[in-house]
Amino acid sequence: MNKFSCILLILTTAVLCGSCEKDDLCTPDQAVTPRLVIEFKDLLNPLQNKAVDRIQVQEIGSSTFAPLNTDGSTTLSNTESISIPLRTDSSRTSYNLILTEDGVVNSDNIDFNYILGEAYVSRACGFRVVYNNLVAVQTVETTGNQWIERVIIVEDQVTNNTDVHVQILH
Amino acid sequence: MFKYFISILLLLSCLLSTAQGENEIKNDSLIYQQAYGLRAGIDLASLIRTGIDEDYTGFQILADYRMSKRLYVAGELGAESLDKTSERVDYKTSGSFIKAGVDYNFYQNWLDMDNMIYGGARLGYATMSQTLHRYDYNIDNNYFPVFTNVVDREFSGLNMIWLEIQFGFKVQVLNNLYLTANLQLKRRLSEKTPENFDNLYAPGFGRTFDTNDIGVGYSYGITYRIPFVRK
Repeated sequence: MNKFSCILLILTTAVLCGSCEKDDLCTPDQAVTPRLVIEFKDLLNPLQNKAVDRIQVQEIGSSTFAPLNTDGSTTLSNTESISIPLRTDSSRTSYNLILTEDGVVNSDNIDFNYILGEAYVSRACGFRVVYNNLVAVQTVETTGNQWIERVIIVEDQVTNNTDVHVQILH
Repeated sequence: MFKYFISILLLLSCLLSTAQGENEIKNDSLIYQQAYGLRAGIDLASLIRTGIDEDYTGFQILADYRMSKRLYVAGELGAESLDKTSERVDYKTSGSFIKAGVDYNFYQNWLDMDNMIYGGARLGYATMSQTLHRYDYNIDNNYFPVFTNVVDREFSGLNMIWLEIQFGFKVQVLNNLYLTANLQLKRRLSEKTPENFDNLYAPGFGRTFDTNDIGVGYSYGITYRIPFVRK
Protein backbone atom coordinates (compact mmCIF):
# COMPACT_ATOMS: atom_id res chain seq x y z
CA MET A 1 0.00 0.00 0.00
CA ASN A 2 2.83 2.30 0.94
CA LYS A 3 4.38 1.75 -2.45
CA PHE A 4 1.25 2.63 -4.37
CA SER A 5 0.67 5.87 -2.47
CA CYS A 6 4.28 6.64 -3.30
CA ILE A 7 3.69 6.00 -7.00
CA LEU A 8 0.62 8.21 -6.93
CA LEU A 9 2.59 10.99 -5.26
CA ILE A 10 5.34 10.91 -7.88
CA LEU A 11 2.86 10.84 -10.75
CA THR A 12 0.93 13.79 -9.35
CA THR A 13 4.12 15.77 -8.86
CA ALA A 14 5.27 14.97 -12.38
CA VAL A 15 1.97 16.09 -13.91
CA LEU A 16 1.94 19.30 -11.85
CA CYS A 17 5.50 20.15 -12.80
CA GLY A 18 4.73 19.63 -16.45
CA SER A 19 1.75 21.94 -16.46
CA CYS A 20 2.94 24.91 -14.41
CA GLU A 21 6.09 25.88 -16.27
CA LYS A 22 6.36 29.63 -16.46
CA ASP A 23 7.00 31.28 -19.76
CA ASP A 24 10.21 33.25 -19.97
CA LEU A 25 9.73 36.97 -19.48
CA CYS A 26 10.91 39.66 -21.85
CA THR A 27 12.70 42.10 -19.57
CA PRO A 28 13.22 45.71 -20.71
CA ASP A 29 17.01 45.43 -20.83
CA GLN A 30 16.84 42.72 -23.48
CA ALA A 31 17.49 43.73 -27.05
CA VAL A 32 14.74 45.99 -28.31
CA THR A 33 14.17 47.58 -31.71
CA PRO A 34 16.57 50.56 -31.67
CA ARG A 35 15.53 54.17 -32.08
CA LEU A 36 17.21 56.81 -34.16
CA VAL A 37 19.44 58.90 -31.90
CA ILE A 38 19.87 62.49 -33.07
CA GLU A 39 22.32 64.98 -31.56
CA PHE A 40 22.07 68.74 -32.05
CA LYS A 41 25.35 70.52 -32.90
CA ASP A 42 26.45 74.06 -33.46
CA LEU A 43 26.78 74.97 -37.15
CA LEU A 44 29.74 77.25 -36.51
CA ASN A 45 31.50 74.76 -34.29
CA PRO A 46 30.30 71.24 -35.16
CA LEU A 47 32.23 69.70 -32.24
CA GLN A 48 30.10 71.67 -29.83
CA ASN A 49 26.67 70.49 -28.73
CA LYS A 50 23.98 73.10 -29.15
CA ALA A 51 20.69 72.55 -27.37
CA VAL A 52 17.38 73.31 -29.06
CA ASP A 53 14.85 75.48 -27.21
CA ARG A 54 11.72 73.40 -27.56
CA ILE A 55 11.36 70.53 -29.98
CA GLN A 56 8.57 68.29 -31.17
CA VAL A 57 8.71 65.62 -33.86
CA GLN A 58 5.77 64.52 -35.99
CA GLU A 59 5.52 62.02 -38.79
CA ILE A 60 4.03 63.49 -41.95
CA GLY A 61 0.37 62.55 -42.00
CA SER A 62 0.22 61.76 -38.31
CA SER A 63 -1.84 63.76 -35.82
CA THR A 64 0.27 62.91 -32.79
CA PHE A 65 3.84 63.67 -31.80
CA ALA A 66 6.53 61.03 -31.63
CA PRO A 67 8.18 60.06 -28.34
CA LEU A 68 11.58 61.72 -27.99
CA ASN A 69 13.03 59.63 -25.18
CA THR A 70 12.36 56.37 -23.38
CA ASP A 71 9.95 58.08 -20.96
CA GLY A 72 7.69 58.83 -23.91
CA SER A 73 7.89 62.64 -23.68
CA THR A 74 6.73 64.25 -26.92
CA THR A 75 8.02 67.74 -26.15
CA LEU A 76 11.51 68.44 -24.90
CA SER A 77 12.95 71.82 -23.91
CA ASN A 78 16.60 72.79 -23.96
CA THR A 79 17.74 69.35 -25.08
CA GLU A 80 20.91 68.29 -26.90
CA SER A 81 19.65 64.95 -28.20
CA ILE A 82 16.49 63.03 -28.99
CA SER A 83 15.78 59.41 -29.86
CA ILE A 84 12.84 58.77 -32.14
CA PRO A 85 11.29 55.56 -33.47
CA LEU A 86 11.51 54.54 -37.12
CA ARG A 87 8.85 52.64 -39.01
CA THR A 88 9.22 48.86 -39.01
CA ASP A 89 6.87 48.33 -41.95
CA SER A 90 8.39 50.76 -44.44
CA SER A 91 11.91 51.64 -45.52
CA ARG A 92 11.16 55.34 -45.14
CA THR A 93 10.10 57.46 -42.20
CA SER A 94 9.33 61.09 -43.00
CA TYR A 95 9.51 63.42 -40.03
CA ASN A 96 8.76 67.07 -39.40
CA LEU A 97 11.13 68.43 -36.77
CA ILE A 98 9.29 71.34 -35.19
CA LEU A 99 11.40 73.90 -33.35
CA THR A 100 9.83 76.60 -31.22
CA GLU A 101 12.24 79.42 -30.50
CA ASP A 102 11.19 82.80 -29.04
CA GLY A 103 7.57 81.97 -29.79
CA VAL A 104 8.29 81.30 -33.48
CA VAL A 105 7.39 77.83 -34.77
CA ASN A 106 9.65 76.47 -37.52
CA SER A 107 9.02 73.05 -39.04
CA ASP A 108 11.64 71.31 -41.20
CA ASN A 109 11.18 68.00 -42.98
CA ILE A 110 13.68 65.16 -43.14
CA ASP A 111 13.15 61.79 -44.84
CA PHE A 112 15.03 58.91 -43.25
CA ASN A 113 15.59 56.04 -45.68
CA TYR A 114 17.05 52.70 -44.65
CA ILE A 115 17.04 49.00 -45.34
CA LEU A 116 15.01 46.97 -42.86
CA GLY A 117 16.58 43.94 -41.23
CA GLU A 118 15.24 41.65 -38.57
CA ALA A 119 17.02 39.74 -35.84
CA TYR A 120 15.77 37.05 -33.49
CA VAL A 121 15.99 38.05 -29.81
CA SER A 122 14.40 35.37 -27.67
CA ARG A 123 11.29 33.27 -27.16
CA ALA A 124 9.79 35.88 -24.84
CA CYS A 125 10.77 39.01 -26.79
CA GLY A 126 10.30 37.74 -30.30
CA PHE A 127 12.23 39.55 -33.02
CA ARG A 128 13.54 43.08 -33.34
CA VAL A 129 14.22 45.33 -36.29
CA VAL A 130 17.59 46.81 -37.18
CA TYR A 131 18.05 49.55 -39.77
CA ASN A 132 20.93 49.43 -42.25
CA ASN A 133 22.33 51.92 -44.77
CA LEU A 134 20.65 54.93 -43.20
CA VAL A 135 20.30 57.97 -45.47
CA ALA A 136 18.76 61.31 -44.50
CA VAL A 137 17.24 63.61 -47.10
CA GLN A 138 16.22 67.09 -46.09
CA THR A 139 13.36 68.65 -48.03
CA VAL A 140 14.50 71.98 -49.40
CA GLU A 141 12.08 74.81 -48.70
CA THR A 142 11.74 77.43 -51.39
CA THR A 143 10.17 79.98 -49.08
CA GLY A 144 10.67 80.70 -45.43
CA ASN A 145 13.79 79.88 -43.50
CA GLN A 146 15.06 76.50 -42.45
CA TRP A 147 16.43 76.04 -38.96
CA ILE A 148 18.28 72.84 -39.89
CA GLU A 149 21.42 73.73 -41.81
CA ARG A 150 22.95 70.30 -42.26
CA VAL A 151 22.13 66.68 -41.52
CA ILE A 152 25.11 64.35 -41.04
CA ILE A 153 24.88 60.57 -40.79
CA VAL A 154 27.40 59.55 -38.15
CA GLU A 155 26.46 55.87 -38.00
CA ASP A 156 24.46 54.33 -40.83
CA GLN A 157 23.78 51.04 -39.00
CA VAL A 158 21.05 51.65 -36.44
CA THR A 159 21.40 48.67 -34.12
CA ASN A 160 21.29 50.14 -30.62
CA ASN A 161 20.18 53.12 -28.57
CA THR A 162 23.61 54.08 -27.23
CA ASP A 163 25.28 55.17 -30.49
CA VAL A 164 24.55 58.59 -31.97
CA HIS A 165 23.34 57.99 -35.53
CA VAL A 166 22.62 61.48 -36.83
CA GLN A 167 23.92 64.96 -36.14
CA ILE A 168 21.85 68.01 -36.92
CA LEU A 169 23.73 71.27 -37.33
CA HIS A 170 21.73 74.41 -36.62
CA MET B 1 13.78 24.45 -11.35
CA PHE B 2 13.26 24.11 -7.62
CA LYS B 3 10.08 22.09 -8.17
CA TYR B 4 12.06 19.30 -9.76
CA PHE B 5 14.49 19.04 -6.88
CA ILE B 6 11.51 18.67 -4.59
CA SER B 7 10.21 15.88 -6.81
CA ILE B 8 13.55 14.10 -6.62
CA LEU B 9 13.60 14.49 -2.84
CA LEU B 10 10.09 13.02 -2.66
CA LEU B 11 11.25 10.12 -4.76
CA LEU B 12 14.25 9.50 -2.53
CA SER B 13 12.14 9.67 0.63
CA CYS B 14 9.82 7.05 -0.87
CA LEU B 15 12.84 4.87 -1.48
CA LEU B 16 13.82 5.14 2.18
CA SER B 17 10.38 4.43 3.55
CA THR B 18 9.82 1.41 1.30
CA ALA B 19 13.18 -0.02 2.23
CA GLN B 20 12.33 0.20 5.93
CA GLY B 21 9.21 -1.89 5.42
CA GLU B 22 11.11 -4.60 3.62
CA ASN B 23 13.71 -5.00 6.31
CA GLU B 24 11.27 -6.90 8.50
CA ILE B 25 11.09 -9.80 6.08
CA LYS B 26 13.60 -12.50 6.93
CA ASN B 27 15.74 -13.93 4.15
CA ASP B 28 15.65 -17.67 3.68
CA SER B 29 17.84 -20.20 1.98
CA LEU B 30 15.61 -20.80 -1.09
CA ILE B 31 17.04 -19.52 -4.34
CA TYR B 32 14.60 -17.53 -6.41
CA GLN B 33 15.16 -17.16 -10.11
CA GLN B 34 15.40 -13.71 -11.66
CA ALA B 35 14.11 -13.00 -15.12
CA TYR B 36 16.50 -11.64 -17.69
CA GLY B 37 15.45 -10.44 -21.10
CA LEU B 38 14.18 -7.63 -23.20
CA ARG B 39 11.53 -5.37 -21.72
CA ALA B 40 9.61 -3.13 -24.11
CA GLY B 41 6.56 -0.94 -23.90
CA ILE B 42 4.96 2.36 -24.66
CA ASP B 43 4.92 5.74 -23.01
CA LEU B 44 1.40 6.58 -21.88
CA ALA B 45 2.26 10.20 -21.02
CA SER B 46 2.70 11.20 -24.67
CA LEU B 47 -0.32 9.14 -25.75
CA ILE B 48 -2.56 10.78 -23.15
CA ARG B 49 -1.26 14.23 -24.05
CA THR B 50 -1.94 13.47 -27.71
CA GLY B 51 -5.52 12.74 -26.70
CA ILE B 52 -6.17 15.82 -24.57
CA ASP B 53 -3.89 18.44 -26.14
CA GLU B 54 -4.90 19.14 -29.72
CA ASP B 55 -1.63 20.97 -30.43
CA TYR B 56 0.48 17.96 -29.55
CA THR B 57 1.05 14.55 -31.04
CA GLY B 58 3.63 12.17 -29.69
CA PHE B 59 4.55 8.53 -29.45
CA GLN B 60 7.37 6.86 -27.58
CA ILE B 61 8.67 3.31 -27.21
CA LEU B 62 10.51 2.38 -24.01
CA ALA B 63 12.92 -0.52 -23.80
CA ASP B 64 15.57 -2.00 -21.55
CA TYR B 65 17.67 -5.12 -21.50
CA ARG B 66 19.05 -6.61 -18.32
CA MET B 67 22.82 -7.00 -18.34
CA SER B 68 23.52 -7.95 -14.73
CA LYS B 69 21.80 -7.98 -11.35
CA ARG B 70 21.51 -4.22 -11.15
CA LEU B 71 22.53 -2.89 -14.55
CA TYR B 72 20.29 -2.46 -17.59
CA VAL B 73 20.95 -1.13 -21.06
CA ALA B 74 18.02 1.16 -21.75
CA GLY B 75 16.68 3.45 -24.40
CA GLU B 76 13.73 5.29 -25.84
CA LEU B 77 12.63 5.92 -29.38
CA GLY B 78 9.89 8.29 -30.39
CA ALA B 79 8.41 11.10 -32.41
CA GLU B 80 6.79 14.34 -31.33
CA SER B 81 5.06 17.31 -32.90
CA LEU B 82 4.08 20.49 -31.08
CA ASP B 83 2.17 23.47 -32.48
CA LYS B 84 2.76 26.27 -30.01
CA THR B 85 1.15 29.69 -29.73
CA SER B 86 2.85 32.17 -27.44
CA GLU B 87 2.78 35.91 -26.90
CA ARG B 88 5.47 36.91 -29.40
CA VAL B 89 6.19 33.79 -31.43
CA ASP B 90 4.02 31.01 -32.90
CA TYR B 91 5.87 27.96 -34.14
CA LYS B 92 5.59 24.29 -34.85
CA THR B 93 8.27 21.71 -34.19
CA SER B 94 8.14 18.13 -35.35
CA GLY B 95 10.67 15.37 -35.52
CA SER B 96 11.93 12.20 -33.94
CA PHE B 97 14.43 11.23 -31.29
CA ILE B 98 16.44 8.37 -29.84
CA LYS B 99 17.90 8.03 -26.37
CA ALA B 100 20.35 5.37 -25.29
CA GLY B 101 22.07 4.66 -22.01
CA VAL B 102 21.93 2.62 -18.83
CA ASP B 103 19.67 2.20 -15.82
CA TYR B 104 21.01 1.23 -12.42
CA ASN B 105 18.66 -0.38 -9.93
CA PHE B 106 19.03 0.91 -6.36
CA TYR B 107 16.21 -1.22 -5.04
CA GLN B 108 16.96 -4.40 -3.10
CA ASN B 109 14.47 -7.00 -4.33
CA TRP B 110 13.33 -9.71 -1.97
CA LEU B 111 12.37 -13.25 -2.89
CA ASP B 112 11.16 -13.30 -6.50
CA MET B 113 10.20 -9.64 -6.63
CA ASP B 114 11.35 -7.76 -9.70
CA ASN B 115 10.98 -4.05 -9.06
CA MET B 116 13.29 -1.15 -9.74
CA ILE B 117 13.88 2.22 -8.22
CA TYR B 118 16.49 3.43 -10.56
CA GLY B 119 18.75 6.18 -11.71
CA GLY B 120 19.48 6.33 -15.40
CA ALA B 121 21.79 8.14 -17.76
CA ARG B 122 21.06 8.77 -21.43
CA LEU B 123 22.57 10.37 -24.45
CA GLY B 124 19.79 11.81 -26.56
CA TYR B 125 19.68 12.82 -30.20
CA ALA B 126 16.78 14.54 -31.93
CA THR B 127 16.31 15.53 -35.52
CA MET B 128 13.52 17.92 -36.33
CA SER B 129 12.14 20.70 -38.42
CA GLN B 130 10.65 23.92 -37.13
CA THR B 131 8.19 26.27 -38.79
CA LEU B 132 7.83 29.87 -37.74
CA HIS B 133 4.18 30.86 -38.17
CA ARG B 134 3.93 34.29 -36.59
CA TYR B 135 6.15 36.76 -34.76
CA ASP B 136 6.06 40.24 -33.28
CA TYR B 137 8.76 42.86 -33.03
CA ASN B 138 10.09 43.91 -29.66
CA ILE B 139 9.31 47.64 -29.69
CA ASP B 140 9.46 50.11 -26.77
CA ASN B 141 6.76 52.50 -28.02
CA ASN B 142 3.50 52.47 -29.95
CA TYR B 143 3.84 55.59 -32.07
CA PHE B 144 3.60 53.52 -35.22
CA PRO B 145 1.01 50.78 -35.57
CA VAL B 146 2.47 47.48 -34.39
CA PHE B 147 2.26 44.82 -37.06
CA THR B 148 2.29 41.15 -36.43
CA ASN B 149 4.14 39.15 -39.05
CA VAL B 150 2.38 36.10 -40.36
CA VAL B 151 4.78 33.91 -42.28
CA ASP B 152 5.35 30.27 -43.03
CA ARG B 153 9.08 29.93 -42.68
CA GLU B 154 10.26 26.37 -42.42
CA PHE B 155 13.66 25.36 -41.08
CA SER B 156 14.53 21.71 -41.63
CA GLY B 157 17.56 19.60 -40.86
CA LEU B 158 17.83 20.82 -37.27
CA ASN B 159 19.18 18.62 -34.53
CA MET B 160 20.08 18.52 -30.87
CA ILE B 161 22.27 16.31 -28.69
CA TRP B 162 21.81 16.22 -24.95
CA LEU B 163 22.77 14.37 -21.80
CA GLU B 164 19.97 13.23 -19.56
CA ILE B 165 19.57 11.77 -16.09
CA GLN B 166 16.45 9.95 -14.99
CA PHE B 167 15.00 9.00 -11.65
CA GLY B 168 12.09 6.62 -11.58
CA PHE B 169 10.69 3.23 -10.85
CA LYS B 170 9.57 0.12 -12.69
CA VAL B 171 7.12 -2.00 -10.75
CA GLN B 172 5.91 -5.47 -11.68
CA VAL B 173 2.12 -5.45 -11.44
CA LEU B 174 1.37 -8.76 -13.17
CA ASN B 175 3.66 -11.52 -14.31
CA ASN B 176 6.15 -9.84 -16.71
CA LEU B 177 4.00 -6.70 -16.92
CA TYR B 178 5.47 -3.50 -15.48
CA LEU B 179 4.41 0.06 -14.72
CA THR B 180 7.14 2.59 -15.13
CA ALA B 181 7.47 6.29 -14.39
CA ASN B 182 10.36 8.70 -14.29
CA LEU B 183 11.47 12.31 -14.07
CA GLN B 184 14.11 13.57 -16.46
CA LEU B 185 16.68 16.33 -16.17
CA LYS B 186 18.59 17.19 -19.33
CA ARG B 187 21.45 19.35 -20.42
CA ARG B 188 21.93 20.36 -24.03
CA LEU B 189 25.40 19.56 -25.39
CA SER B 190 25.14 20.75 -28.96
CA GLU B 191 22.49 21.77 -31.44
CA LYS B 192 21.97 22.99 -34.95
CA THR B 193 19.76 26.05 -34.72
CA PRO B 194 17.83 27.69 -37.54
CA GLU B 195 19.39 30.82 -38.98
CA ASN B 196 18.14 33.95 -37.23
CA PHE B 197 15.85 31.85 -35.04
CA ASP B 198 16.24 29.30 -32.26
CA ASN B 199 15.27 25.75 -31.35
CA LEU B 200 12.29 26.42 -29.09
CA TYR B 201 11.34 22.78 -28.73
CA ALA B 202 13.09 19.52 -29.47
CA PRO B 203 11.46 16.08 -29.62
CA GLY B 204 12.47 14.05 -26.56
CA PHE B 205 14.12 17.08 -24.98
CA GLY B 206 11.06 19.23 -24.48
CA ARG B 207 10.92 22.99 -24.51
CA THR B 208 14.12 24.97 -24.29
CA PHE B 209 14.80 28.01 -22.15
CA ASP B 210 16.18 31.37 -23.29
CA THR B 211 18.79 31.62 -20.59
CA ASN B 212 20.23 28.15 -20.05
CA ASP B 213 20.82 24.69 -21.55
CA ILE B 214 18.56 22.80 -19.15
CA GLY B 215 15.53 20.77 -20.09
CA VAL B 216 13.05 18.80 -18.02
CA GLY B 217 10.55 16.08 -18.69
CA TYR B 218 8.73 13.04 -17.44
CA SER B 219 7.25 9.87 -18.75
CA TYR B 220 5.10 7.04 -17.49
CA GLY B 221 4.17 3.92 -19.29
CA ILE B 222 3.55 0.24 -19.38
CA THR B 223 6.12 -2.37 -20.43
CA TYR B 224 6.25 -6.10 -20.97
CA ARG B 225 9.26 -8.34 -20.45
CA ILE B 226 9.98 -11.16 -22.84
CA PRO B 227 11.91 -13.46 -20.51
CA PHE B 228 14.72 -15.09 -22.48
CA VAL B 229 16.60 -16.42 -19.53
CA ARG B 230 16.01 -17.09 -15.85
CA LYS B 231 18.93 -17.03 -13.45
